[in-house]
Amino acid sequence: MYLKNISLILIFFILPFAIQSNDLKEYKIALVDIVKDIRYSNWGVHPVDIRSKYNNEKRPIAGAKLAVKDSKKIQRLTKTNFTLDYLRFDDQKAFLAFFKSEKLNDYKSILLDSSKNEINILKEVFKNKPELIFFNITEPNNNLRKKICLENFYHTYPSSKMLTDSVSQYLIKKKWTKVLMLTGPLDDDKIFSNSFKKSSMKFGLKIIKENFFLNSKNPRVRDKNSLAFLTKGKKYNAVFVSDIDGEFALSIPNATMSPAIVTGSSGLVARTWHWSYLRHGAPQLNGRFERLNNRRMESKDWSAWIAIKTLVEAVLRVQSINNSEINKFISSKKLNLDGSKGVSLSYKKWSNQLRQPILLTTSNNWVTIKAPLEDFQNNYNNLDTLGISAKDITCNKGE
Amino acid sequence: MIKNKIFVLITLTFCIDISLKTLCADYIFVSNENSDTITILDENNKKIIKSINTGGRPRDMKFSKDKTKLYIVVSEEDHIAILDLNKLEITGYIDTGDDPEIFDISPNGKILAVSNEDDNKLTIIDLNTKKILKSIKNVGVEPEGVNFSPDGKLVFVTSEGTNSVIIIDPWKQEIINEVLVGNRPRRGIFVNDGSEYWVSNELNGSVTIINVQKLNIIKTIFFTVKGIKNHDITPVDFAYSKILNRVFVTLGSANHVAVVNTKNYDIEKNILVGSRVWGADLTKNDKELIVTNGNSDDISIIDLKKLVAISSIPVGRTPHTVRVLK
Repeated sequence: MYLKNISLILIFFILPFAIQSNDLKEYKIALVDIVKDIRYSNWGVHPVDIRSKYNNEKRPIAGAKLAVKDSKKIQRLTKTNFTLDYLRFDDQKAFLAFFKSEKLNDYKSILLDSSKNEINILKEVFKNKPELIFFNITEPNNNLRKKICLENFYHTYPSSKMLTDSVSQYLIKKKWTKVLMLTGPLDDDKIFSNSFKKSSMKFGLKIIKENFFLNSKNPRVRDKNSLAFLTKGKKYNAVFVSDIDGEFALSIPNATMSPAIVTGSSGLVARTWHWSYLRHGAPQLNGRFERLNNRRMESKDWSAWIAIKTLVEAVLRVQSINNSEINKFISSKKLNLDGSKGVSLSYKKWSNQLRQPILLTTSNNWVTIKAPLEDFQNNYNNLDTLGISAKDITCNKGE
Repeated sequence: MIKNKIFVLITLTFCIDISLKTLCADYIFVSNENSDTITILDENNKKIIKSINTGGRPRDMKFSKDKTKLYIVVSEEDHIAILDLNKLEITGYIDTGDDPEIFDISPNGKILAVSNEDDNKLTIIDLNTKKILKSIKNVGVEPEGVNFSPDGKLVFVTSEGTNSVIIIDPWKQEIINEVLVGNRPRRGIFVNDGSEYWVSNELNGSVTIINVQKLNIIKTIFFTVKGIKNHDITPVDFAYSKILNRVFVTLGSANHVAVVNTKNYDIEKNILVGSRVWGADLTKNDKELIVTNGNSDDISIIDLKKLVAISSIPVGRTPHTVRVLK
């Protein structure tokens, strides 16, 4: 029944070399998503774009396609043909049904472009399918890192904690340490704000007040929708806004009652990728992405790209497509992944979260700075100054 | 003393040979990626003589076989500029295809091979006609380092995105083999009479040594620097002294140059230099090593007897490559 809801798009690429495809092993990957996903139709999309008929959703399949294309260039050494199926489902029900179907077994790895709600339901599936490797490529929720500890489930998208830690390091460095928080009405807004509160404790920022806003024009709730009320006073020099929807956040930079840097969901935003990054081969990666997809590469695209790159690197080094060997390699210290961000990337053994530098960016400027900032040191790897540490984990891997 | 005089005499004759107009001098050339200039210094007193505008992003440089020209890759202009070494002026250009980065010239001086990083290509150019003979496609992902084997028969290309060295026959213009190395291989150099090819792996802090005959890996050298975390050790470029039997490896963000013995592969010393050290070249008789420091906009001069940096000289913004005319 669920098959009706699948629109299956196979992506073919012409083999670049004399290598015949029948000489190659096949490694099948699927990227799964839900068509009616609010995160793409509304959240973080500029209101002008939401209304525009020319607006195209920026789904991370674009990054996955590039990674598969890149993988063809190393076929001589991987001796493996990586293939990608894009499986789209109309709603959550159809999406979850796929994971109960036999079709799941066609694949060796699944990239999940889904929210924490689906992932929380699917964790039992991940546990019962240790022969598959799963990647969370778009959901930042901290609890997914703390509470699901499975050896075959990885996160390439940064956790909220990595993003709020990055912002906090910068505020400390600039001595903008008195923070006014503005938190939106959605659950995810509160979750993101909580993450920032933990980061502020970790690095020593002072939260002077948390106000809760509503995106409305209703004069009866001016204390919740007018910046004159929300940002009154002079005791702060930074504003952290948590607004997953994103529309209200746009109105805050350059409009606070006292001069202050705005960060969080607008102003200076922590991202894992930005089109303006010019170092470490980033222009080449952006160029390849733009030629293939006719748009700029964004964080979710990069996270999909690096997930497949992880698999390609593992196959290259272990010279096998056996997932238990691949999985062992990915979680080992031997993995040195090149994500065009200057340092080698690997996965944290306690959460299977990809260690990565975070870029602090605005909408139209250069990358302001790359976190971790130089002054923040960790005795194993400075990248571990960002995100959830081992002591915050509430389960044991494999449990 | 007599030896020195003879040497000076030889040098003078050579110089008169190549230039009747100018007094002979030894020069140091530094390409500055972000100020779009070449800084020229006098090799003897290390003073800056001249700065030349090249346009968008000058990077790798090599001398012509007869040492009358310096070829300069100008990445954003998609060409190589030709600098006349007598006039110290740019006198012509060679089209290279998109985004050229690193190149090498065949030992017989006839052809030039340049990596096109954005397009995953290696372009072979006839230096007589200055025309492109062929662009070889699918040279990995982000090909960078390019080296002709000393016998001129093969070109070795490091591919950053695929972690491999791709071996190409530049005369038949085809890919003939590929060797898996470390992570993000940046540059290579032929060592020990061309029997070994050394590759710098930027992202796992190592150098892979390939046996050129058998195309197998004979050794991987991992660098460590006291007080610096391993992931900050990012090797990039080389200089090879046959006289001293040493290879000098620039360690990028570790701000040191490693001295490696080519006989037993021991790391003998790490020399402190400027910030994010990349390019390297040796001066006459391998007396000094000069390196470019991309994040401190200067070059460091290293005395190779004492193995310490003896001075640093500010150049343009983000110095990339250094070449010494000797």
